[in-house]
Amino acid sequence: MAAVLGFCGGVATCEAQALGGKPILVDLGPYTPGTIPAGIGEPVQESRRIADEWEKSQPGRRIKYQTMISTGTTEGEWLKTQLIGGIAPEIVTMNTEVAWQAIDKDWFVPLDEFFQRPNTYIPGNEHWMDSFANPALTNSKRAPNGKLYCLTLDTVETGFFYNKTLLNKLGIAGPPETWSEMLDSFKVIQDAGITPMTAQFNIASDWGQDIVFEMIYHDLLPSLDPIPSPPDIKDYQVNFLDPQEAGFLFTKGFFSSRDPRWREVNRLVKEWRQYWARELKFSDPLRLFFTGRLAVLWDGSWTIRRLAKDPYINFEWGIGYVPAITQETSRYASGSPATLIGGAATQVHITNSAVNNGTLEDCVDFLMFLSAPQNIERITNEALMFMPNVKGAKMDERLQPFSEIFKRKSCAIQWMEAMDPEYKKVWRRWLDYYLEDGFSQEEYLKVLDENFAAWVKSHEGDAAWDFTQMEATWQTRKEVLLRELDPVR
Amino acid sequence: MNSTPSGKARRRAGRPAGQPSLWIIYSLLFVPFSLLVVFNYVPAMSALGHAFTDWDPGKPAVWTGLSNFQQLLQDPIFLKSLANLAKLGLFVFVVNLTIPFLVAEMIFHLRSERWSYAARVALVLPMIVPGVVVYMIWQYIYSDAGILTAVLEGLGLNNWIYGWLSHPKTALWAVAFVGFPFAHGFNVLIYYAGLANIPQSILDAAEVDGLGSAGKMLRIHIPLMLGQIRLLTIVTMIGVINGFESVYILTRDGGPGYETMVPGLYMFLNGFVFERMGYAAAIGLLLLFFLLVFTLLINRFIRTEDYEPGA
Amino acid sequence: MSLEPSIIERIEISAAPTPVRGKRLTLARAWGVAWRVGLAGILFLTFFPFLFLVITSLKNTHQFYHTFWLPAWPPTWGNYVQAFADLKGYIFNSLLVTAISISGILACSTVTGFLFARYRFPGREFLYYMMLAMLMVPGVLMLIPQFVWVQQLGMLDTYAVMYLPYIAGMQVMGMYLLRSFFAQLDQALFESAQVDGAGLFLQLWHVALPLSKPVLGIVAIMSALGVWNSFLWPLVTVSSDDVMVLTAGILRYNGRMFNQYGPMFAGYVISAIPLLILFMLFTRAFMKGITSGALKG
Repeated sequence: MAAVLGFCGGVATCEAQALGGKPILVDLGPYTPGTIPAGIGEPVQESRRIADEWEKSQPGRRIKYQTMISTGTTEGEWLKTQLIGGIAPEIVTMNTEVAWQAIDKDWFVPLDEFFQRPNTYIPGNEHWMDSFANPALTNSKRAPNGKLYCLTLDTVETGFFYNKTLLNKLGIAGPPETWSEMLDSFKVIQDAGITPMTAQFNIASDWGQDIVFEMIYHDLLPSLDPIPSPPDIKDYQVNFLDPQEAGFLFTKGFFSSRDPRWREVNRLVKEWRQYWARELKFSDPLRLFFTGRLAVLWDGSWTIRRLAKDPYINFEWGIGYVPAITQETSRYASGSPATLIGGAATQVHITNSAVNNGTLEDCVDFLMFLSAPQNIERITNEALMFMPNVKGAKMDERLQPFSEIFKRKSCAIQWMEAMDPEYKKVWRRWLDYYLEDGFSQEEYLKVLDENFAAWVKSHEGDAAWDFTQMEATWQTRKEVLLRELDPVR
Repeated sequence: MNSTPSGKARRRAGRPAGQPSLWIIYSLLFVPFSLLVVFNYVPAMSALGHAFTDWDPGKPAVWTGLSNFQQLLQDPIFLKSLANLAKLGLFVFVVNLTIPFLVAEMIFHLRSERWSYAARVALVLPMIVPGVVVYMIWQYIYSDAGILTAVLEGLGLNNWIYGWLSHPKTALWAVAFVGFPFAHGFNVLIYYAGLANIPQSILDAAEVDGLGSAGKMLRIHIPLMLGQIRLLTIVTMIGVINGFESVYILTRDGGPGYETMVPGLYMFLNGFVFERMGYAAAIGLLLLFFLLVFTLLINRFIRTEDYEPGA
Repeated sequence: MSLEPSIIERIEISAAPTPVRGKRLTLARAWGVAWRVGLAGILFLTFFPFLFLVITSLKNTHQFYHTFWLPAWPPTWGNYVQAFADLKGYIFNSLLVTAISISGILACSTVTGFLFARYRFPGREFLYYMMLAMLMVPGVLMLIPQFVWVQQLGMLDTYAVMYLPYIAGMQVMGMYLLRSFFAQLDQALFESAQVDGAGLFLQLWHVALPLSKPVLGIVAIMSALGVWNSFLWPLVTVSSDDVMVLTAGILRYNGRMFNQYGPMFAGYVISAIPLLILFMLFTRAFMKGITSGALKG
């Protein structure tokens, strides 16, 4: 048995590597040549042309695009096996939080050093990092260990796509100004036998929770946030709570059943939920919306392409956003505008294959070439789904409403991304269960407390989770903050 | 085990006198068995061996003895998944054994050879449709824009409409009903084979005895098809106990809550999502144990005249 | 649908006393119509996924959302053009891998099935159950160890990694079916061959195989279904397009934010065509095999 365990346990190194003339394998997510954005129109080709131009300037180097195959899960069994085997493509695209889970495995290459070099494809550029339209957003994707593993090529935003024709027929003038107006109009829509609002893939509860959280905690956040956000991300995230900060605050009683704001967030999300589609996970919102059976579709900028080109749609549609929660709805509300949901879209990583194959420098050079404004605008405008994150890149005007939304600040925390997958899944699971009346609020808060505690405990001894500095800040604010907990009810 | 002395004698008598030499037999077995050992036993043993370790693939495994199993038997999620498996398994087991049987009887009773053939083709063709597609169709049946909702709305039964797959009360049954009307081609054909194989003389005798069709089904068809029933029982059980594809595609994580969690999915999630491959292996080993016990029991309870090595 | 009286009716008619005969006859006739209608309903619902596959393969993305269940006009033949252009390399690989696998599975399972059915030798029971037990190990569990292992064997990204493990795994079911079929054959046939001086090979080749065409058909079709439709294994062990097979290649239409249903379903239909041809070739043997009781378990 020992022998059997021996050969299966260790990381095996890949033998068939470092062969001369082997092309660099690249997965560029939605921009991989041959992909048809939203299944509509012609396959994209621009990235191939850009690679051809790069190859011309780099004799002997070759780029081969490869679609990273998705089996329908974000975790990606495929990528995982390829990484274990050291045969993953050199460049892969995915949400960078996935890479954070694998920091101790050296599967991905930190890019910080390269971001400090000049991008030679942009005249006058001194640091690659300076070339990004939103460096704060780019920096905000730093892993818990302080390193940056991803290059954020572009940004994505979500908004309310609404059926104008339908709302007019029901006597609803336009997008609501406040939260309570929104709920009132949803009631009217629902009474007319139409689903008021939903989002694809059960995402409404995830996004909704973050947005409500920020609006309820808005006034408290400056004193709550134990470590101020680093200056290089201030323009995008103010008082952003890192996972370890959230964990620390939990140990002090926040985000638990002792915290009245926390209760309020959960109450509001549940109240909101009654206007969503009945099915939480797969309500088929696109079909509902396109066929006039859904009033508001909460979806990302990529849906524009779909709506604009659909010949069968027989209603007028508009784009709006989540209204602010006011005192009318909750005593904790400040009336501050809802934060945006979205941020980095195409997040590109370099894997251990580049190191094993000795192609790391080439990979970086190619990414620099790709992210020069004259090149990035070609691929983002061809796909028409996301806004380029590079200074001087021109944006297609059809995406303009979303660049308006993008002027808002990021939410204070992305709860579902903050937690490690195991705990996130537990939370997500009970959140749905609560929203489906499987749990009362008390039962729900209780399991959340337990899950939170288990998550914090799992980080014991983790250097990034050293609470010393936060504890010092806490001591100075303790008096004020503790008053916010356990109020007389 | 089950042989009477006379049975043994009969078998020995039926055995050919001359046998090829042992080395010929073993050398013929060499290729199939080395494939089996190299590609199945080595990885299977490795997988099952990891049941006694703490293993996060990509890092070395750490020996932990029986602790995975101790943890497993106290894991409320695993226990819940067993309870779900019992409900789901019983349902799937009953419908997958009875409905194909009834369908096979009906096809068998079709007098026209052409219709009977057409019916069999209609059952076989859908076998090439990938499971992913079938489950997708069901998602669209259950969704807010789906057929089920439309039908209930049309009947004015608005209070009966649920988010079928996300409501705690309905989710498990929504998963169980996937595959309706449960006339799976393979099962029907196997029953059909059994029916077609019953000697005409026995059927004639039944007719003389004045047995009705129900009587014939119960007293002639079923006893003579025990072989088929046993085969399908075992194949169905392997599918039910190890399977999780339908739950995985329909509810993703065995939700809402753990209402649709089954052990196979829990094993998968542990292995691929929670990075606890050792724990996943422990679940797999337990499932394998259940299946082996179950198969042995079935082989004891459903006996046939057919010769079986080791029997 | 034919409405000639079934056995049920005939029995009931003969058993019934004359006075109520007319009434009985009508009832029986109504029952006869009822179960045929029920059967037709069940068959339609069972057949529906196949129909849906074909219908959806002819829709573009907009039609997919606007007319979901019914056929849409005009049909989008372009899905097939696109799918074929994208997938033709994978189709060849799939055909090759499936053909090699089926041959291997048939060869291995015939030999082992025959040996287990006909001869006694030390360790026979142990080896038989050693094979059968493999049917019960959950495949998912083996995925990572199997992957790590073939990687150490240096087999990643080759054709061999896609047929050797299949032969190893699927020979078991084939052996199980063939063994029970061979055991049911009239042993006298082998004895007379024995008397004529035929050894093991001649008995297998001239006596057993000609009689077992139907059951070989079943094993071939079931293996083909298994090899052709599996996607997780090729997905993880193969990364280059040159050896990638169809089922894994089709997943390129399975985007992270949206699926391209039209070409994807066209791809599924295309991938079903070789199976359909195989079904047609083997249908007679398959149906005959089914009806000859080879699957007695």
